[in-house]
Amino acid sequence: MPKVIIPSPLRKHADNQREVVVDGNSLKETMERFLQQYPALRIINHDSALLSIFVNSRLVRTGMETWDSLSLNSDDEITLIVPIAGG
Amino acid sequence: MVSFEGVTSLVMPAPNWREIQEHCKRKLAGHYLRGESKGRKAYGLVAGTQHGFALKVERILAARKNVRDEEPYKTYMDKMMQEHAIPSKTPLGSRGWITDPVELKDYYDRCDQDRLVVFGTYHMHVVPWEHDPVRDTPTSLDTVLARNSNLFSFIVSMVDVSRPSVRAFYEGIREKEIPVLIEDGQYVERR
Repeated sequence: MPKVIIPSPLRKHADNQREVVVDGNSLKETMERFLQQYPALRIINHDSALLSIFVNSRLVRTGMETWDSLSLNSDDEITLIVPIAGG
Repeated sequence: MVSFEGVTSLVMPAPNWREIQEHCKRKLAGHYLRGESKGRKAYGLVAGTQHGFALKVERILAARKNVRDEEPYKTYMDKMMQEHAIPSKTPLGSRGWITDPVELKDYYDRCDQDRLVVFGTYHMHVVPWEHDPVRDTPTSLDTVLARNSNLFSFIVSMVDVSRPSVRAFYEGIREKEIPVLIEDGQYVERR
């Protein structure tokens, strides 16, 4: 099953875990199940156009509307990168 | 414990503090590394270890690439500037830093490998304001940009390059400051 990798600043919303195994055949299905499991992480939906998702080491610049079309293999690793910004 | 909100103390070894200062001074002097974004802006990550309610800085990760002028980030940052930035002699379009996601992932991966957690970001303030001559606290824009980040914003005042200083604020909120103890051997100094 695909694994979702959580960057350290967001782990407080996911029981302090670095990675979570989530069942899903597409990015959409995996992310929906992941966010159901850890609803506090829905904060990443805010300004979701800025969210970057990596499938393994490949950057999938994505708005959520494209998630459905992206199928996943069982050994894929998904990394969520929320932009870090300063003035 | 990975929530940093309750953290009450933070130690930064002097070499790490020097690293931040050198990064800031190099950018101010206009000396750039290959592939580095140009401009008088220094931005980076602060990582280390957590010991209960105390943090210890162990690594400074200077960010090289600013994607602030690339879409979709430009639209977002321009909007944030319009809504929250205080006008300054630096034009709004030249202000702001957004870390490149590829670089950010690389830094997170490296910290995970070395069992370090990223707990902060740093950036410098350079231009003194009439009502804020030292510029060592977050602006309202800094606070908005750090919202929900679970990170400390380290504000580096480089208004007087010969007397830099640093202060740390959880999610860029002024009321959530923790003292930064600069540790040099046995000597601990509050800057």
